[in-house]
Amino acid sequence: MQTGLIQNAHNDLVTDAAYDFYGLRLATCSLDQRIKVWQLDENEGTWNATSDWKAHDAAVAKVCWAHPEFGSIIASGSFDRTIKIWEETTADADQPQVNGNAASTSSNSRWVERFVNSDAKGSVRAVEFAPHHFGLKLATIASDNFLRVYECLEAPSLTTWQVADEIDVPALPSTSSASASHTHTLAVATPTQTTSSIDGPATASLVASALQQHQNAPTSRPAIGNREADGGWCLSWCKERYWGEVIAASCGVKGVVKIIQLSPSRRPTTLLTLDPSPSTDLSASMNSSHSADHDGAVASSITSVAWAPSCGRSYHLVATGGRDGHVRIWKLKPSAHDDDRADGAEEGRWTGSIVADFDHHKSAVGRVEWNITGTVLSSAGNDGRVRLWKATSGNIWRPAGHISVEQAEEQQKEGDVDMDEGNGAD
Amino acid sequence: MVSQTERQLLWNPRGENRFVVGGLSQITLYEWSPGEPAIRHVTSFQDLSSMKCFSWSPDPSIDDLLAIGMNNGRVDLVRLESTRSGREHLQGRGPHVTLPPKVARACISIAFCPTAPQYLAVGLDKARGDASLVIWDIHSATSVLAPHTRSPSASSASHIVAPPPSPVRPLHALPSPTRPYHPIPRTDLGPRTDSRIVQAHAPTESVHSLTWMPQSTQLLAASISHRFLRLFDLRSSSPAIAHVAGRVHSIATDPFDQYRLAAAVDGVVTLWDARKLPTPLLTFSPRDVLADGARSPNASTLGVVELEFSSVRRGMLATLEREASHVQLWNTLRTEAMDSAQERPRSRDIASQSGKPTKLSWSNPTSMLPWSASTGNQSGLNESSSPIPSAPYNLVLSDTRKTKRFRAPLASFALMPSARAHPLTSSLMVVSKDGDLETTSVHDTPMHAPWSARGTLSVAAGTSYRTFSGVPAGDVPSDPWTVVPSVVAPSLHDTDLNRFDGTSPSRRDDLARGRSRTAPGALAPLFGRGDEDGFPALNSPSAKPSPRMKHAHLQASSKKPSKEGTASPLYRSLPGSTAASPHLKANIELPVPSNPSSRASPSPTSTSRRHIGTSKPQKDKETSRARSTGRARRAVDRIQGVVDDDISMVMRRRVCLGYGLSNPSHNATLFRNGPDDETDKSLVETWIWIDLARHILEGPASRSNGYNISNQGLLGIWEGFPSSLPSAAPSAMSSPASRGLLLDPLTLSDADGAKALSRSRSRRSRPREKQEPPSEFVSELLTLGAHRQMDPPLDSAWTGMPTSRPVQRRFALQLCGWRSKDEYFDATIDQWESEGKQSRAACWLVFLGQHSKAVDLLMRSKDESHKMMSGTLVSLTPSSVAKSPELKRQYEKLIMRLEDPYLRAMLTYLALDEWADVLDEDSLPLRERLAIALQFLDDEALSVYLRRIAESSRTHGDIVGIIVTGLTTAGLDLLQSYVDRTGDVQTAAILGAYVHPHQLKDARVERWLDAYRDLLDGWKLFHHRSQFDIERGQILQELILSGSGEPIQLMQRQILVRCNYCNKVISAPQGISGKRATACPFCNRPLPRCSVCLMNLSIVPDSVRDNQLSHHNAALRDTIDDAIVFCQTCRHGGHAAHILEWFYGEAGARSHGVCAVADCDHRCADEF
Repeated sequence: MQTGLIQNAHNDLVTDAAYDFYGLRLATCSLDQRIKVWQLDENEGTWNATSDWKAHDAAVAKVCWAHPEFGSIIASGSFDRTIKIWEETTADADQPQVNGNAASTSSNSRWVERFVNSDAKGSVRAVEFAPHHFGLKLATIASDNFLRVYECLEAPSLTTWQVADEIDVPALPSTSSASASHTHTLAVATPTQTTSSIDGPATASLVASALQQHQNAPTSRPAIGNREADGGWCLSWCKERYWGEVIAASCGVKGVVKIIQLSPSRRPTTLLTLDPSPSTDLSASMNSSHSADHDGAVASSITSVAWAPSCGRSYHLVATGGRDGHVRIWKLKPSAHDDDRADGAEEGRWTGSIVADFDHHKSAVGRVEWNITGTVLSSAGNDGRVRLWKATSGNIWRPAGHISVEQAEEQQKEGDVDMDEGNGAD
Repeated sequence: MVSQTERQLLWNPRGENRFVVGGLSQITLYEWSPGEPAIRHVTSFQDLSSMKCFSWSPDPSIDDLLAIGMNNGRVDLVRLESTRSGREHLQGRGPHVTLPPKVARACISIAFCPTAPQYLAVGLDKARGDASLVIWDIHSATSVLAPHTRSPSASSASHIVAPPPSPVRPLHALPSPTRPYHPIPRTDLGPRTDSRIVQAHAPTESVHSLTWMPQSTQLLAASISHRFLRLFDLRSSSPAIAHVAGRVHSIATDPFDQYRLAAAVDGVVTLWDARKLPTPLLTFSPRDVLADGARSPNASTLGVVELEFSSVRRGMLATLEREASHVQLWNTLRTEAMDSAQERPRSRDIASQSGKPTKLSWSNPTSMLPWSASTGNQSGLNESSSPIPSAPYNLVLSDTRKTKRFRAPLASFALMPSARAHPLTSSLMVVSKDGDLETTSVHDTPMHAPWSARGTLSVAAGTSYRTFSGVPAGDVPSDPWTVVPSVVAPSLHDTDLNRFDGTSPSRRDDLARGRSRTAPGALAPLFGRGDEDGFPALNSPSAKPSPRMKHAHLQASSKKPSKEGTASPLYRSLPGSTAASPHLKANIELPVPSNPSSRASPSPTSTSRRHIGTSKPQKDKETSRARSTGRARRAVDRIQGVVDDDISMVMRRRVCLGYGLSNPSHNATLFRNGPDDETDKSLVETWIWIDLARHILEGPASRSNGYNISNQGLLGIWEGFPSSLPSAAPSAMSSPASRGLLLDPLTLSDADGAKALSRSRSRRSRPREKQEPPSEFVSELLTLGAHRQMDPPLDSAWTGMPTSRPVQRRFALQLCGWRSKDEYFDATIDQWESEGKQSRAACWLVFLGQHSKAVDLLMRSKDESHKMMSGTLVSLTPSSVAKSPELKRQYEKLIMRLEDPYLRAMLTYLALDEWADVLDEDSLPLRERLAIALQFLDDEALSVYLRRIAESSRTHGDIVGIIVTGLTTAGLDLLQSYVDRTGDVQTAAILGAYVHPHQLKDARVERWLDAYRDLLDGWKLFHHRSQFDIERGQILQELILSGSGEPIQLMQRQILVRCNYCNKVISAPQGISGKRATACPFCNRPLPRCSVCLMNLSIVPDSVRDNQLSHHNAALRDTIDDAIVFCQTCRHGGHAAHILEWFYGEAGARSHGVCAVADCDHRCADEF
C-alpha cells in the first residue's frame, strides 16, 4: 500500500497544492489564508509540515513553485488581489520581514515575502512560473481578465519584478492564422486567400463579441461587489522551449481557451483559439437528460486548463475542464511538420482538434492536471470525484479509474489494517 | 420566518437530526440522519387550516416547542410530541398556550430569539393603529408546557440541562445555555396590553419576514410592508432603527458572522454587514450563474424566494428561486480591504438599476466608505456588544454550485448541519411542491489532484490530502554503475519464444530472480507491466497491481508449464478475470482489460426519497456501509494501479534497473516479465536486434567509401543507397532522393503485396529490368561481411530460390541473428527440440522442405497434440494429392483454432500454400518472420514485404519495425509515432542517442533527449542522467577518434580563471605555453600568492596538463597537489595541499581554526 494521508492539512478547506520540481515538497494553500510547505520523508513515505504561515489577507487561490535553479521560491495568488513571491531562507536573525512561521517547525528555514504585487483589479485566480528556459517569469491571471506576465529583474534579490506583458485576454484578437474546430483541423488559409479565410474568424469574433456584450452588459447584471461565481480564470504554460513562450489561458465566462504567444519583440498574439462550442451543442443533443437546459446555448466558462508536458511527442495536449462538466483534451499541432521541423514553428500555424471529450463528471469540473509525462490526466469535479483519464494503445482516451473524496478519505481507518494484512500475507 | 401557504421545511434549530415540514394545514416532524436510508416520520399535526407560519424554538429544554401563527393573528405554542401517541386534534387535549393578538389580522411571520428562547417575535399584517411587530416573553408559557423540567424561579436558561446531544454537532452559533444575554427592556404599552408582550413596533405596517441576528437579543431584522428591510435595536424601549429600502422576501443570517445579513431584495440577493446598513457588501442575482453550465436564462428571472447561510461552510449561502427545481449554492469569500486607491469600481458595477430607491448607494461596490449617519443610529449599532472591531473588508462571490435537478419544482429546503468540522459535502433536505422529501449532497470543497515529478498523485479531500505515491517509500535507487548487467549470450537462432509457448519455465524463473538480484530494493516484479495496452490493473480487484500479486502470478504461471494449466489459480478463483486477452494467443490466461467505467461504483450521493405520510425502511444500513468501504478500498487500489503502471513510473523503474545506452542485451532482459504486453515483446525484440546490429555494424569497418552501413535496417541493406550520403538513409517512405532505387511503386497496396508474396517460392523469378544497387555498395557489404567473418553469400542452393542479391540477403539474414549454414541450423533444430520447442523445430523443417525429419521430430514429442500433428503433416506433404477446396476450408478452420503459432504457421504454409499468411502471423516475432522472408521470398516480394513492414510499423508506432528501418530518418519517424502512441520517450531517447548528433542530426532526437534528461532530473536520478550523458559522450568519442565524426563539445567548461589585471582567461591560450606558469600569459603580471607558502600560484595551461596526463602515469599523481583552493567567504587561499595542511595538519586533526592570512579571522574550514 503506497497511499498516504495528510490529515487536516489546514484549518479550512484546501484550495490548491503544488509539488516542487522533485516532488519532494508540497506547498498547500487554503481558505484559511495560509500556505504550508510539506516535506516528504522518502524512507517513511510520510509528509511532514516544515513551514506554515499566513500568506494573504484572503483565501489563497493558487500556489506554484519556481524551477529549483532559481532557488526555493513559491508564488501565490489570492483573493485579496495580490500575488506574492516567497523565498525560503536559511538565515534567521537578520531577516526583518520574516512573515511568521509555525513555532513547531523543526527546521530553521523561513519563507520570506520578497515581492507583493497588487496590479490585479480582481482576485488572482492562477499563478504559474514559466518553464525555466525563459528565465524567472511568472504568469498570473486575475478575475479582471488580465493575463500578466512578470519577469524578475534581479534574480538574486527577487524583489524587483517587471510586468513583461499585460494582456486583456478577451480583447486579444483571435488572429486569422488558425481556427480550431471540433471535427477537423482547419487548413490554414494563406493571407492571400482573403474571402474564405477571413470569413470564419470574423463571424466567430462577431458572435463572440455579441455574446460578451450580452453577458457583460451592465444592465444584465446589476449588482455590487466582486461577482466571480460563474467565471473561470486559468492559464498554463507550454512546457517546452522550442516554440517560444506560449500560454494557454481562459478568462471569464466565455468558455474558450486562447493559445497566446509571447515574444519580447512583438505584441502578444493569439496562435489559436480553442472553442468547443460546436461540440457543446452536439453533446447537448446527445445528452438527453440535460438537453432541456441547453437551449440557452450560453458558453460555459473554462475553470481549468492544463498543458501537458509534451515528453517528446510530435503534438501537444491541452486539457480543459469547464463548468459544463466536460473534460476535453485538445491535440495541438505546432506547425506543419513536413517542411522543416527546426524552425517552421514560429509562424503561428497551429492547429488544434479535440481528441477526447468526457462528461462523466455530470457537473462542473473544477480542475484538470497532467502527470509528468502527459500520459495520465486527473480531473476533479463537483460530483466529488477525481477521475483519471489515460490513452489506450490506440491513442484513444479512456477513463482510467476514479475515486470520490469520501473514498479518498475513508480509508484512513482501514489503511493501517490493510497494511498489516499485506505484511501478514507476505 | 416567511409566511407561506406552500410547504416549508425547517431544520431543528439546535442541529439535531430532526426537521419539520409545514404547510397545507399540517405540520409533520421527521427524523433523518446521514447514512440512514429512510426518513423517519415522527409525528404530525393535522387540520391546521388557518396556519400561516411557524417557528421552532431553540430552547434546549423543550425541543419540540413550536410557535404557529394563525390566520386570525393568534399564535399557538404547541409541543409536537404531545400528539405523538394519540393523534389528537390540536385544539384537543394536547397542551398548548395561545398568544392572542390585539387586533385580529393574519400573523405572517414568527421567529424565536436564538439566544434567549423565551423571546418570540411575531410579525402581523397591517392594522390601523396597532403595532405589527410584537415581542413576546413566553417564559410563563413554556413553564406551562413543560412544567416538570422548569422550576418557576428559573428565569434564565442557565439551569437547564441540555438534552443528550444527538450525534450531530451543535451549530456554531447556537446558544450555549450559560451564555448571558441582555434582557429586552419592557416598553410601556398601555394598560390593556397582554403582560407577556415586551415590546411592540412598526405601527400600521405589515411585517413579512423576521430574523434575529445570531448571538444577540437586541438585533432583529424585519421586512416591513414589502418596502423596507429594517433592523431594530431592542436594547432601548424605543429602538434604534436602520433600514434599507427594497422589496425584501427572505432574510438570512450567517452562523459564522454575527453581523452578516442577507436578504432577497427584489429577487436579488444582497449581503450586508449589519453595522453598516444600508450599504451592501455584495449583491448578486441568479444571472451571475449564467456561465455555470448551460441553463435556461428564463428561469433565472423569477427571483430568489428562500435563502439560508450554511452552518458548515463559512460564507456559503444557499438560495432557491421561484419555480426552480434545484438549489443554488454560493461561496463568498471575505477579503480584508486594501487602501482605497486600489478600489476602482469597474464599469459594470456602476450601473444602477432603474426604479431603485435612491437611498441605496448602488454605485459603491464596497463598504469601505464610512457609514453615513443618515438615520442617526450608527453609533447605537456599532456599540452593540461587539468585541471585534469592524475592519473594512470586501466580499467576493467566488464560486457557485448547484444541487442536482430534482424532478419537481421545490417548495422549500434546509441545509443540514454536520457533525464534522469540515465535511466533504453540504447536505440539503428539500421538499418539493408535491410534498416529496429528498436529500442530496453537494460536493462543494475545492478539489484538485496534482501530480508530482515522482508520479505522486494527491487528491484533495476537504482539509486533507490522500497521496498515491509513484515511488514507494524507502525506494533508494542504486547507482547506475552498481547495476550488474544480466548478459544474455546472443545465441543467434534463439529468439526466445518461450514467452509464447510457455514451455521453459525454469529459465524464466531464473531470469526473474537474476534480475531482482541485480537491483535489490527496486520494484522488480512490477516491472514493465501494462504501460499502454489498456488498463490491466483496473478491471477487477484480482488485478490489483501490488508487487506481491504480480510476483505470485509470475511464479504461478511459470510453475505450470502445461498448456491447459497455465492459468494461474489465483486469477481463476477470482471473478471477472476468466476470459483470455484477445491479444494473447498464448495459453497464459490473464485478466482482461475492461473498461473501468463500466465497473464504476454508483455515485455515493446518498439520495433517499420518500413520500410524505409513508415510512418504510429500504436498505440495511450496515450492509451499505460495508459495501462502500469495500468500494473505497478498491477505488484506492485502482488509482494506485494507474499511478504505478503509468509509463512515467515504468520508465523510472527501467532506468533504475540499468536501462541505458551501454548494454543493449541487458536492456532486452528488462522486459521479460511482461509476457502479456505487446509493446514489451516488441521492445525485447528491438533490443535483441540492436544488440545484434551493433555487433555486426558498429566500428569503423562499417563506414568507408562514403557508405555508412551502421544503423541501417534491413530495408537499407536490402535496397542499398548511394554513396556520399553517409547519413541520409534510403528511406523509402520519406526520402524522395532514394526513390530511384525503389523497385516497386510506393502505392502498392496490401492486396498487391499479398499477391506478390503468395507462393513466391514456386514462381520463377522474372528477368529484372529495374535498377540494382550500385556495385560499390555490394562490395562494401562483402568487405564488411568478411571483416565480421560472416558466412558466405546466400546462394540459391540453400533454399532453391534464385536471387540477384545474395550478398544483401546473407547480410540481412545475419542481421536478424540467423545463420544460414546447414550445420548451424541442424544444431539449432536439435537445441529447440531439447528445449521442448518441437513445434518450432518442425515448422522450420517443413519450411526447408525436410518433411520427413519434421514428422519424426513431432513423433518423438511427448505432447499428444504434436503426435497428432505429425499425421496431418504427412497428409499435407507435397507428394500428396492436390488439395480440394473443402479440405482447404477445413484447414482454415483448424488453423484458426490452433493455439501454437508455429503449428499454425506450418499448417498455413502446407495447406494454403501461402507465404503471405505465414508472414502475417503476428504472434511470430518479427525477426523470425523476416528470416523466413529473407530465405523464402523472391527479390521482388521481399522488397514489397520489407517496405510494407516499415510502413505499417511507422503507422502503428510499432517499435520492432526498427529492424527494418534501422536508425535512419525513417526509423526516427517510426520512433516518433511510437512515442506519440506510448509516451515512452526513454526508449526513443536511448535509441536516438546512438545516432544523434554525429550521424543524424534531428531536432526530434534533441527533444527526446531533453525530455528524458529532464525526467531523470525530476526523479533526482542525477547519477543515472550523468551516466547517460557519459555513455553518449563515449559513443561520440569513439566516432571522433575513428575520424568519422566531427568533434562536438557536449558541455562547456564551467569555471574559468581570469587574470586580475587584464581580465583574460588564463588557461585559454594554446601557443603561449612556453612562458612562466606563475604569471598571466597575456600581461605577464604575476598571479596571486598562496597564503601559506607565499609563492605565486601557477596555472598550468590545459594543453600542458593534457600532455602530462597522457604521457606520465596519471594515476600516480594526485591532482589535488596542483589544485588551487579559495575560501568563498574571505577569498583567501592558495595551494590546496598547503591550505589543507594548515587547517588539518599532518594527521588530519584540526590544527588551526582561522585563516592563514594576517588580520583575517575567518574560519574558512568551518564553512561547509
